[in-house]
Amino acid sequence: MENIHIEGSVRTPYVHFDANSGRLEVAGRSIPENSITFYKPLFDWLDSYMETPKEETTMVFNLEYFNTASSKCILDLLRKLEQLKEKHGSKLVKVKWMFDEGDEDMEESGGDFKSLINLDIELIEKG
Amino acid sequence: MLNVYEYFKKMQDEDIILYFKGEITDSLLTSILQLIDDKLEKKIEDSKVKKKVFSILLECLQNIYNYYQHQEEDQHWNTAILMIKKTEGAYFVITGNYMRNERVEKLRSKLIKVNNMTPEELKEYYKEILNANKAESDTGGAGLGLIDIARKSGEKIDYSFDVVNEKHCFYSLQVKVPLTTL
Repeated sequence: MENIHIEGSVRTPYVHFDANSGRLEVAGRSIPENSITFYKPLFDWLDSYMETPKEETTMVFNLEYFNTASSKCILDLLRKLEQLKEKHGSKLVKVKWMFDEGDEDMEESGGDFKSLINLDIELIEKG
Repeated sequence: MLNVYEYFKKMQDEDIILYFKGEITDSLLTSILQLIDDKLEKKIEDSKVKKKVFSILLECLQNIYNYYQHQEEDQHWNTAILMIKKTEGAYFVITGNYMRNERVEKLRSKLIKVNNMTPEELKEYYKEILNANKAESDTGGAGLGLIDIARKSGEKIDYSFDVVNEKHCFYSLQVKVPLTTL
């Protein structure tokens, strides 16, 4: 299947979903005009990927800002990964939530998702 | 003519970093965000404060913008004000916009609810709302905005509703971002 590659903009994040390596990355800012329009292709991609996932799937969130409308979409991305794990118990699913040094708000956001999602979510402070 | 110097001095004394009055459209929102991003970069050394101010402003603007989506044809009522001000110990994000009187009670009760919550309660409330509905089912943050603002500010949200006429009132919001707690 095809990869997704989207360059970041003032309001939208950089996205790289690599079907071959199983590495999925969302980075930068997520404050789009319409979050559903932006995230819908990513949900669809994950639905297809979920059919035949790699042995190991790693999702990396490396966000600077995101608005509350995006937070729903981020939760939905994580829910899809949760489904993947339920469907393919033997496959590894990892989530890395990166935040800038001392950015407690971003750390707390990661913690919020972690408590709502049954996945191994690692909170990583960038040095 | 208007005494521009007096006007300028007043804004300078109050350390108003940004002042905008006009209709908030989505493309304008992008421009304002870029402008503020740039201004805050120079003004605020601490990136934590900058991020808080920026995030709060973002939710405030989006709140206003969401209101507009189902509002008037008469552009007069789509005019809003936005300010960022700095005092000794805090930044303030201040917004004001018209809204329909019939929507006030719901908003007021939400503000009261959020203002009465402890940080821990706000966190739980945020997660509850976040977890409740799927993203596909709504366009905005489904009321997460105010909770997020309250969480990031860590202070009570100041607000008022000034009656304008039988249909409209003016909704003012002031959010404090303290420098000390950071």
